[in-house]
Amino acid sequence: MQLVEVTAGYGRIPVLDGVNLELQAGDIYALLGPNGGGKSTTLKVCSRQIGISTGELRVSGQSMEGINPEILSKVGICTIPEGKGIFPNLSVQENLVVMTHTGAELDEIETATFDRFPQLATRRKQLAGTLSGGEQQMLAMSRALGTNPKILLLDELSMGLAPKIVKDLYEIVHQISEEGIGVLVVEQFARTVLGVSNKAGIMINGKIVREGDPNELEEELSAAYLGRREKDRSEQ
Amino acid sequence: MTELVTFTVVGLAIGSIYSIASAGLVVTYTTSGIFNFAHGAIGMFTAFIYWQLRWDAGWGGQWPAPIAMLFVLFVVAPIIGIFLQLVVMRGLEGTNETTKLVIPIAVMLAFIGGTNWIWQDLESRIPEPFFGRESKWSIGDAYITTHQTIVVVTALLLALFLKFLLTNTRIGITMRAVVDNRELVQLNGGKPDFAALLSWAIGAMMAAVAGILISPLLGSLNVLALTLLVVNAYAAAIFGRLKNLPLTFMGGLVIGLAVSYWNWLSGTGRKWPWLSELRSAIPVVILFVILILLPQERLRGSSLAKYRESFKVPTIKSSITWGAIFIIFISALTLILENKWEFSLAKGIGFAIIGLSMVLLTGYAGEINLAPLAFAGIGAISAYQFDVGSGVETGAGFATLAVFLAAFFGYLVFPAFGLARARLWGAVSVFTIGVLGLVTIFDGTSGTGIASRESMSFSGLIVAALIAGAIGAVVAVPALRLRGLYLGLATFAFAIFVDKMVYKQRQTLSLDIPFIGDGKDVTFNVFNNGALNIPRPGFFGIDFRKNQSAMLILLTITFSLIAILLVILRRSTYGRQLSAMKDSPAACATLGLNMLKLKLSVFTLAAAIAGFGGALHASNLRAIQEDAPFTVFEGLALFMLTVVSGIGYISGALIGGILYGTAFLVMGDFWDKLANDWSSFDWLFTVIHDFFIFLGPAMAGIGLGRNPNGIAAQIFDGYRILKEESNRTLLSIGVAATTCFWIFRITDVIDGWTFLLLFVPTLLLCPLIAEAKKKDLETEKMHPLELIGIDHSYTDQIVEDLNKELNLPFSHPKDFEDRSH
Repeated sequence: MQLVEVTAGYGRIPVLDGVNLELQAGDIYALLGPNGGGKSTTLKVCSRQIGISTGELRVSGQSMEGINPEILSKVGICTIPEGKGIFPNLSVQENLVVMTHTGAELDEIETATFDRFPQLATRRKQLAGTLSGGEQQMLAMSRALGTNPKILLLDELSMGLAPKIVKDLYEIVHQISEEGIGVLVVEQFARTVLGVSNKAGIMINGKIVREGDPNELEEELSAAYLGRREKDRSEQ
Repeated sequence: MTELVTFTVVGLAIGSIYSIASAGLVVTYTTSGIFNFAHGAIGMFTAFIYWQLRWDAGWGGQWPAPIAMLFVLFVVAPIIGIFLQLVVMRGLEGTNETTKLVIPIAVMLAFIGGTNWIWQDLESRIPEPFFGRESKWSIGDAYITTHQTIVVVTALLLALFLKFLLTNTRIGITMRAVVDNRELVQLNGGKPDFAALLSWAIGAMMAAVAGILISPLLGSLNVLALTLLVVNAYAAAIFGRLKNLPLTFMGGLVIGLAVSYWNWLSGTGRKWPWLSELRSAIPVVILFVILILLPQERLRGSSLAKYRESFKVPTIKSSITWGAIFIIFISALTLILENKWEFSLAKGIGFAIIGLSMVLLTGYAGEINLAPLAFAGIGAISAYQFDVGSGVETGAGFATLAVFLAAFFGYLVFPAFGLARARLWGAVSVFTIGVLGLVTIFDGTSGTGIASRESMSFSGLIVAALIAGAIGAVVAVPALRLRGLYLGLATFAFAIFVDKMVYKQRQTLSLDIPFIGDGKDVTFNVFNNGALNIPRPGFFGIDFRKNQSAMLILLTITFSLIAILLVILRRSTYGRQLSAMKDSPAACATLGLNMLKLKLSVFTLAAAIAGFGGALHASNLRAIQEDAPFTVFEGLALFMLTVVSGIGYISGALIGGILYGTAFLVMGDFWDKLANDWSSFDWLFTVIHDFFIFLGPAMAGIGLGRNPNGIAAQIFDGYRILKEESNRTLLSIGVAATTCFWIFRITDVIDGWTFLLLFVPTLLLCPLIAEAKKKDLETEKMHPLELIGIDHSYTDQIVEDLNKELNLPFSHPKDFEDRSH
């Protein structure tokens, strides 16, 4: 998947200012950066929830112009949005039923989910909104597991969850990517995701200002978050 | 025993129909998040169509029952549902709660208007039950008709079908998922639009089933009665909290049984004459009680950014100026208008005064009240009772009553103004003494007989306001914990309650009131045979009885005064508190604002304004009837038009009131006149005339409801541009032209219609021209910002424009200099 010089925004307010990004199969690309930098917007552009003003979104070299999110999810781009990507007023089982719209069979989804997260199996009939935060995120992740996507887009997976659960979830993300699936992760909680990713970018003010090896970037991160420049640091 | 069985069966049958209707309501609500106020009206409309196909002697008629049924259920109803979703409801996503309430109300009025239009002759239409009236079977001595059996079985089958659809099929689960998170359904590959279409189609079908099944139980088809009957299902839907289908079905049965057993107990209302109409009010009483018993909603900070509404607050100075201009303008018009038109205009302004209560309550404080006219009606009745109805000499007792009411009113309203305790009591005392003074001055409480009074007294108006205010408070107390849709439904229930229990009340109330009536009982005839003759006022030494111009000016002055008062209120600390409460109750709670006091006071105040306006409006009309002008449906129409006009603005109330009270009638008259003048195009003009009369308000609501700020804002923007320097010529041409028309009319050069045809377009065209001109200028000026100043030097004007464009604080270079000194 590729973003080429993409600009986009909400109404009259521009957010993305020429984003270039490339995601290869099997990659875990961590998109980091401070609040309001345009990370989530980038993700929404990739899932076509937001229109592109200029530039292009390409998947396998083909332009995705005019394709709506429903179709995108059917061709294997799985987006798990910020917050919990579940339907709180449906039961766990029913949440899985909705996932079948992607074209996957209910059986496959159920097997994949309950194998991986046995505790969800015991809560089949429970309303998803009454699950714990971690379980909700597991349920959301089961879409990535059960529907065999080609590309996985994750927004703020760690939000509001205990570090241990976050670690487990990223372990799963890592395994998913090993099956040859490209994963784009948007995170503020940088340390955890850098451990599993093999590529990272820092996004500030609608631009990816640095891109490269996660370990290298880690050092620059605090500068990006706190707004200090290289120069200031050398003076210290 | 036989009776028990009979009434149980009747109750179950009616309850089953309520269940079906409410299930449809729940399906649309859970899948679209919109409470379909039009649900009852859809049921009514389809029942009429079914009647037309099945029994009409002319067109249609004599279709076999199964075919007519299938046609209505599987062709007409789905088309209605799909059409509504595609054309009207789909655009409601992301709008605020008031808009989501108003548009379905407009749709409901459209169905009512449309049905009245299509089936306008007054023939009686009697639908027969299935298999005729004689088809029945018996348990012991009790008979059960085949129709009742069919009703109950249908309800059971539909319940099972819906349960299966929504929990066991993929499309059903998707329909529910759409409500939770529409975008996420898309990300899952589902099609939210299709799910919504299906749910609206099913909802309409359920309404149709309910309408067709219930109509034979009513005797002759009646538009409003049928709509209201299905409205009873709202209570059942709330019983299931708008999402739980089994509970909803149970709720429907409970309501049906309650109504039926009440009929049994009270001998169909004969046993306790005071409560004779309670049987039709029971469902709304249940609705009100359930709403109050619902667990309290958590406080929410509504996210302002999501809504596109924003109301500018006028300054006190400008509101006084505009008030004066408005009074002068109307006074000038009275010189040329015929009596008939003055009356129509007065009607509009009367509604506008009542509309001001909604501006305060809904526009400023964000509390939805669907019963504005119920309070107005209470005001009108109170004024009537205290002026002529009681038929006693009023005296000290009257003053005592006014004092009590005033003290109660002050006690409710003043605490919210944040006065310290000592001052609070001071304010209440001053207010009470003030009211006493006014009542004494304008009434002469000397005890001389006013039993034969033929005019409304000023004190009657004050009492009207105070009583309406007190009742507003009584209604508000239980409703204080409700917000949004639920508050709307609670007030709606109250409006229906007033319709049934007050307007239809035929009893005479005898009271022994101390100091009044010389120890004898005072009798009030609550709603005298369905009509009250409200006298015109007679104060200030002016006889308003024959002088329509004076009445119009009185209403205008009243409107302006209350409007200025509201602006002062809005600009005060109190007004800012109201506004804060509207924006974010959660934030207010954390700031320690006592919202209970605030809500109670604003409800009381708004109800008092409505009561005052209602009394004055009624006295302009000279009479009120049980079915006009203060009924629940008229209240909904006025609410809708005020919202459409801009409920956050004083002018919104004015435009809404005039639209409702004047404009559509005058337009109707206009086409009527054309139909008379050109008889060859008679049919065309009659159709247009009927359109305005029957569908005007509803269409205005549906068409304009999308703009959250209302029409008032747009009109104002236009006139604001007119005031700019570059438009001086246009403005003076406009003023000159309107003055000329006025002079022509007063000297009888042109007749009334010509005047109207010249005058109104001029008023509307001037701002439009100014706006178009401004747009032209703007497109000319559209240099990219960075290129400005390259070819010529910066002027103050350019700097100003740049600041404006970049959203920088607006600063005059002159101010700069002043400050630097």
